[in-house]
Formats: sequence, C-alpha cells, structure tokens
Amino acid sequence: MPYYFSFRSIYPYLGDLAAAAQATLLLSVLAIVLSVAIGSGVALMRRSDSRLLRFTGGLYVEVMRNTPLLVILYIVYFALPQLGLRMSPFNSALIGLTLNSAGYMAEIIRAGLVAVPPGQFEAAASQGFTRVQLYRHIVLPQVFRTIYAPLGNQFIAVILASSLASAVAVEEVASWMQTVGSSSFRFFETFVIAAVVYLVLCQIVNLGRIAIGRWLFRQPEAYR
Amino acid sequence: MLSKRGIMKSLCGIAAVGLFGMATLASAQAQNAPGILQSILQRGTIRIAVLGSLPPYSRVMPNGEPEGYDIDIAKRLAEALKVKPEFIISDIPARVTALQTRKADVTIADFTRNVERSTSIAFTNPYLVTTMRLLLPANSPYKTIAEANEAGIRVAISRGGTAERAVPANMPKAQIIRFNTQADELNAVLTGQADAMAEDNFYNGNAIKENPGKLREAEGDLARAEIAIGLPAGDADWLRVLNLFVDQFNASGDNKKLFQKWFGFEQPPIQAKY
Repeated sequence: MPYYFSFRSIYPYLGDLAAAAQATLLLSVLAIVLSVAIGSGVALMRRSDSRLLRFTGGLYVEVMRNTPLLVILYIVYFALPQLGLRMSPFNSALIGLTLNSAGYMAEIIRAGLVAVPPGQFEAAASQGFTRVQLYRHIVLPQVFRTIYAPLGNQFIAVILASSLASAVAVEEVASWMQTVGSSSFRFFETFVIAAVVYLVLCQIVNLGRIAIGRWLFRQPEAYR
Repeated sequence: MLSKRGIMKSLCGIAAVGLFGMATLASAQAQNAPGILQSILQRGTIRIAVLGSLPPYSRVMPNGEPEGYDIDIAKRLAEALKVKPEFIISDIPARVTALQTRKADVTIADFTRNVERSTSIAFTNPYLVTTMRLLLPANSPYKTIAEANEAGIRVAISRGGTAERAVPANMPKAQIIRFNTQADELNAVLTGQADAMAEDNFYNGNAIKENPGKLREAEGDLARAEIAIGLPAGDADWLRVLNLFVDQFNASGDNKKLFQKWFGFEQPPIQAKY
C-alpha cells in the first residue's frame, strides 16, 4: 500500500501560509537587525579597558551560547509574566531570538575587531582621533568588511531558529506546518512545502545581504 | 547587481528540495509489501506507535517502558493476535507518519477520527468518545462558554486538533492561540498568557485534580470527538481484524474496566444518540 502524495489536500490552507511566511520574515529580519546592534555593543564591551565590562560581556556571550533557544523562549513567554512582564507571543519570540542571536553576533563582530591591526589604534591616537572617530572612521568600516560573509551564516541561522517561535504560539511557517499537518494528517506534504518556503526566505535574505554588501563596500569613485 | 550565478544557485537549491520530495514519494510507492496482518503473524510482533507523554493515555516510565490506558489496549491487541507488542514512542507528527511509512502497524495514541484525516490513514470504530470543554482559571468571571465568547477571551488550543473548528464555531469572538502540546496550553492558562483552553473533559478533569483550587470548567460543550485506532490506508483485511477487536473489546466490558483503572471514573457511552 503506497503513500499517495496529495498536495491538493493542502490547497485550502495555502492562504494562511502567506501570512505565516510574512511573520517568519518579519520576526527574523527584526531579530537580525536588533541582534547585530546588541552584538556590536557586547563585542565592544569584551574589548573594553574595564574588567567589569569585559566580564559582563563574556558572561552574556557564554550564557546565550550555552542555553537552548527553546528554554529562553519559554522563560520570556511563561516565566516573565510571573514577574509582571507580560508580552504578546510575537514580542516574546522577538526578544528571545534577539538575545540568543546577539551572543553569536558578538563573537563574530569581536573576531572582526581583533583582525584590525593594533598599530592602527596607536596611529589614530597619535593623530588626535577621539575614540568615537576612531571606531566610526577606521575600525568599524574594516570590521564589517571582514565579517560580512560570516554574518550571513548567522542571518540564516536566525531564520531557521525562528521556527522554534511556534512553541510560544507565534503563527509562523513551522506553526503552519504543524497546524496543517495535524488537521489533514498530511505531514509529508506540509514538511516539503515548509522546507521550500524556508529555503526561499533564506535566499531572499541572503541575496538581499549580498546586494546591500555590494552597495556598502563599493569602491570609492577615486579608485574606479 | 545580483549575479546570474547566485540566482542559478538559489534555483538549484529549490529544485533539490523538490527532487527530495519526489524521491520520498517514489520510495514509498516502490514498496509492494505483503498484507500487514501476514507481516505481523510472520514476524511474531506487532509494532504499535504510541505517544510518549499524554497521561493517563500513555507515558514513558523512568525505566523506558510505556504505561497507560492506550498502552494497555495495545497489550490486549497483541495478546488477542498471540504476538508480542513492540512500542514505537512517537510525537504528534510521528504517530501519523509512522503509519504512512509503514514503520508501525497501528497507532493507539488518542487519535480523533474524521473524514479529512481518513484520506491519508484509516481508522477503526471508536473505543472512546470525549467531549471538548473550556478549562478556565478558578477565579475567571465567566460561567458559561457563551459568556466567555461575548468577552472575546484568548483561548489556547492544540495546533490542528479538534478545537481548530470547534472553538471558532462555538466562540466566534474568541481569539485563538495555538500551541504544540497540552502542557504548553496549560502553562499559558496558569501564567495568564491565555484566558482559557479547549481540551477534552478527561484531560481537564486530570488538570483540575493536579492543580487544586486553580482551575474549573465552563458550562457547556464545544465538540464531540471519537477516539479510534489508526492504521495504514488501503489494507481492508487488517482493518477487518482491528474492527473486530475494538467491537469485542467494547462489548465485553474490558474497555470499561481499563478506563476505570486509568481514569478513576466510569466510561461515558461510546454510542452516539441521534
């Protein structure tokens, strides 16, 4: 008795899929942007002269990289309300995903900071650059050029990790897959469709990242 | 500008997933196995998919052995066929896909049968009928389902379960919040992330008992669900044997006794009144 694939059985549910894909994309892109910002801050903390800041930054990275995202999502969604901090499923998932991803982003960005030769810091100081000017004009442009490709890996990791948000009631693509699979008992069909949707979403973000990178790191006119 | 190669690479990836799907399909169709009944009798074991965590239906003990109402039914079935039971501990998708890939001969896992689901697997006659009701915090102001609906409350439900249709039909003003497990639904109610949950009255009874003073049920029913044994579609001979087992298990009073043992009260009637 073979199993007959029937994608026709899934047609009635495809309307919900568009909304679910939008939710996955929105959640992932917001988490990516926020976690790059927080990760940059943590990476700078880890390079700070203050021992306390270095320690706090290191602690954050190790806690976030060594705890499962699912546990963090449960804590944000189920435990924080006990302390009076109540958030919607989407916001809970966004916070959990951002906190988790920022741990990885911080390490990627720190690697980029380490790659800037120490001589440049000394040279900038000798030229009278302030700390802000140093980072704005000399360090960060090099950092982002160095880490732009590895950052792409983490972007994709965030999109795929967003599938856990269904555990805290977010209606994203993994939620759609579970809901339609359980309704129709056609899990194989929903697995295949969800895989294709994630692949397309990851490629959209990836191609977007490449396009932005080309624009961001274009050669200055003088060198063309 | 994006390179042509980049776009080609993306397209190749998408095509690969499509091919993977086709390959799964092809391997499933290549199977031309003998009937399930013959396989079980030749093997001397029956492979039964059960849920790992749905007490009192089933749960896995610390020693790795499953126990519960569904597990006892599975053991009775093996006994009746004079073969050994072999349990496959599954989750919500796996209890279905185990049948479709023929990794399991039957699924006994609190399966609610309906026509849509029966297009991809087969169901026996029911061995249990449950009533879906609304579970609320004890201090909730709503007495009836109608009152709760008027207030537009947030109702936690299981993804793709009976509640998907039952809650919008009975409570059109309610906001639905979907979870993967009943444990998560209950957590949402207990932490105030949901105002109520829709589950069967056996589950609710157990939850009320385990959280004394914290929960109660609203008046009124949301849906009736028929719980049945699942089997791969297309094997009429195997369905014939399983239906005979279920009918005699119900008629003999064995079912009533097992139900009393695991749930602690008398089994409600299985026959519908219409």
